[in-house]
Amino acid sequence: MTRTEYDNVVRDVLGDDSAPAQSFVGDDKLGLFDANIASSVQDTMVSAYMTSAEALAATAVKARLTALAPCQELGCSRAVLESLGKRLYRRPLTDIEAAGLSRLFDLGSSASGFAHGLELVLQAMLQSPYFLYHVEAGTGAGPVQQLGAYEQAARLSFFLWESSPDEALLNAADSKQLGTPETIAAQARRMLADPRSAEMTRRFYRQWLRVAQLDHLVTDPAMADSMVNELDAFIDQVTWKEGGTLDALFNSRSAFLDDNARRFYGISDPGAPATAAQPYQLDAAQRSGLLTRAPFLAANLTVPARGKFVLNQLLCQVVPDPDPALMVQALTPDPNASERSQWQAHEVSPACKGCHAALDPVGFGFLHYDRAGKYRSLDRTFAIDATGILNAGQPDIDGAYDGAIDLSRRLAKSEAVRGCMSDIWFTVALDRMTREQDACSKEQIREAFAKANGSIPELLVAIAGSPAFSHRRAAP
Amino acid sequence: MKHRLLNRRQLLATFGAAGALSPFVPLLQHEADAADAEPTRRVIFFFTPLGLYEPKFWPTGTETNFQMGQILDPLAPHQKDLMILKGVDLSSYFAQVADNAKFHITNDHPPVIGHILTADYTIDPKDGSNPATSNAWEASNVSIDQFLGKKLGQGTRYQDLVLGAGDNGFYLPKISYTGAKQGVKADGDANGAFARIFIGVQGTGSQVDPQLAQRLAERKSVLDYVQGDLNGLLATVATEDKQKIRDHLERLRAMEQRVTSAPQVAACVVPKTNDNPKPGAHDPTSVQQLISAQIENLALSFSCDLARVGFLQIGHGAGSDIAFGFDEHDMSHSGNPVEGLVKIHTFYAQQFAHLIERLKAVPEGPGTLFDNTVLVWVPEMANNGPGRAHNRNNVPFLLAGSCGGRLNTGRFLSYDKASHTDLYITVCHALGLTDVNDFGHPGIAKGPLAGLLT
Repeated sequence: MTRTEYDNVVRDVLGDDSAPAQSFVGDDKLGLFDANIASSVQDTMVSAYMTSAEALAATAVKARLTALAPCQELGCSRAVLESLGKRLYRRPLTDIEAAGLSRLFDLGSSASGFAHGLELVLQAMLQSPYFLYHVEAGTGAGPVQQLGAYEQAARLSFFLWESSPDEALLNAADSKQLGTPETIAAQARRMLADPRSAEMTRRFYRQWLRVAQLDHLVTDPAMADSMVNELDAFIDQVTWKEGGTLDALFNSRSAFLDDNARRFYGISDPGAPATAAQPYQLDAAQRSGLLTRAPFLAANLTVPARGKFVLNQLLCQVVPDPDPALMVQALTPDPNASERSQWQAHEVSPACKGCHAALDPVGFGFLHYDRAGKYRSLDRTFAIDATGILNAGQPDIDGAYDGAIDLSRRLAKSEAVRGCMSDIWFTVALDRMTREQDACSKEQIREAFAKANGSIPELLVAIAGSPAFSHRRAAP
Repeated sequence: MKHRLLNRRQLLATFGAAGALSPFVPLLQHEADAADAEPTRRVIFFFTPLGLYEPKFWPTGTETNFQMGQILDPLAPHQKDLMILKGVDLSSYFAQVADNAKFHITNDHPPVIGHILTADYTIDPKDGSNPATSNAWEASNVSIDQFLGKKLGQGTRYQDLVLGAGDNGFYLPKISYTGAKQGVKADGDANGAFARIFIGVQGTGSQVDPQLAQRLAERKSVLDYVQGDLNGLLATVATEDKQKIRDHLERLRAMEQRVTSAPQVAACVVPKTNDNPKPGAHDPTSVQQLISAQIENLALSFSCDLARVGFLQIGHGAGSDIAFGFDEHDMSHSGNPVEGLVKIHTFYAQQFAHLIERLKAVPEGPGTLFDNTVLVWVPEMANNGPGRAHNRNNVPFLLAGSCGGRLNTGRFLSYDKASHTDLYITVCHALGLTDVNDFGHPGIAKGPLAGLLT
């Protein structure tokens, strides 16, 4: 599990919202996203698992004993540990496990009573690999195996909630009602209505846009916080209230701004509270969706960086690497030349053009925003030319464009952007890169995404219902 | 009874669950050996990112009479303890470049960071990720801190303490490696590290909790249960996951040895907690507090002989979050603004000075703990040449401490294309491991650097 998943599971199962895993060493990354895929286990982690398990177990039996164990007779212990085990391991305990855990319970309860017995049981469960790892065995023989019902339920809940399955999902697994794409899709729709999906979606965009970088790039920490809050509120709005489509994501002018953010956008609202964000519609001539907003622009400061995000993350194109023999140097500002003409010099220079010829024509659309992301009508004394050329290999959107608002409009209806977004979400859902054998699933997901007019929630349902999501490959 | 060291850290009692006193028996043996002859020697590697701004770093003058650059101002009181080395290259990197047909590498942060402590090639993930930004490159061998930890830390509670501060997480977090692809992320939680290092350790004269024996026995039962789960899983899990489960089992067993006993160590100062606030980004004051807390962890664990090798990782490959309002990475290329570079690099020198001062504050034998320690400042790279590309030649390495009289301190030494492989071999020899004559990538080592060993 990632640190977030760990914290969410103990919150949902034990009612403990202390987020202990935030002090664990950092997660691995799959692309831009947290995923624990590395093969090494470190002492720091094993020690932290123990310390955290002991603290969580002690708090649980002290503060929430009645909720976790409605019956505290010794005779009820097995039922209590089986019910907690099922939530923590995301499957029923085996008889051998239940017997082993019962022995731990007896050891603790004979010394100091029921609560202490349960404490030891929780300590063990919270350090068990069946709690800490996503263990999947699949069913049947052969290289491609169907997931078992509980494994299916766990994949769904860790994808859509970054947490363990709730009772309803486990009940569906109990009664084998997760066997078809339709039943899985129905569960997915139910789960998307839960606030945990909204939080998962926010985290997706925070990681995708690398807003963690804002801490380094924005000198005022309060401003960095305001930007993250602005992003969260915007994502909530466009994903769950304005149709959830790529059109809303890239073109919506809705914004929820606190005092810092209002200053950033030049909005004056003297009566508004300083910290509680208020809803606004931004100036149609200056701003549109995600790509024209502070969190994206401030995390991607320059023309090539902004162009690179569009190419890498929206069109899934691999930008050629710089020639290793070349020295990469920062641009030295020339007071006598516009920013655009200085970048254009890179497209001529043999040393630079390898990358800049690809990046800059897409990044020029963002010239109306300075490094911090503020709108400017002049680049110092120079007029701004924010025209550029999009070359995504798609006749319907390729060609000359003018400015980031026009660029966003094109990207929102692009088949290539839909394909790229579905691949990125697929990787996040399955915690792995896509493979050749995923071609059918990917095609099916893309079709569903297009049919739903680029609705992100429907994309998530389609991924959950795809064959790749309900199968595993024994040897990749 | 031998007196010199036993007075300092006499083991009063070892107490714990049945059969669990093993970790501290070797400690007694070390004590006895040490009192007979040689002092206990220790080493700390100190990592900072992005090189050191060379125009304000390199000393001028002669080998023994030199004036240090402005960045090293905080180290002025300790000049007689320093060894500043000019002309040391990351030779394993240049060897890999020469081998590029077989072992692809580019001059980007991810492909090179794995060289700094391993002196060996890095592994191209060949996953299509961009080498300029990919987190997927890995080192192919054990790093010098882990190598020394295995050699020197056999009888101690920890072989190698890998601690961090200044953001060890977001990008290129792994610098220490226990083996190929087995990166160790620095522990940036000083409170957690303190708890982990000192769990169960009883200071002089402390009252032993009467329920401790029961608690330790229960913990052992719980950990045994978890081991049973791991063993069961190991039997069923797919081949590619076996390594992870095996690794987990091995770490769990090692931890169980440590956490199910409660050794009582005399003259070992065990404070209740090593409290530090969570550092805020962009806040050098709180990062400094965190670094101090980690230095405290190192000094305390050395003084209680719970570890003899440490690695303090400030930041990560290509940067840190100690920005002082500057972009550390851009500055390291452009050299602009100079005051920004000087500020950050002086901050690093202050931390290194603080580490020296903290170790000098712990009495040991006739002198201090510092006298028997060598500190190795490992900057990620050089900061030289036209355009300040991230060159890997003439990397500014700096040592401090004579390591029990084995190193010629107070020196500014110049070499002609020496390798950091040989620097690490020199450190091994200073620590008494004179049979170590090769390290990292084969064919690079020539033997200890001239002029350093006494």
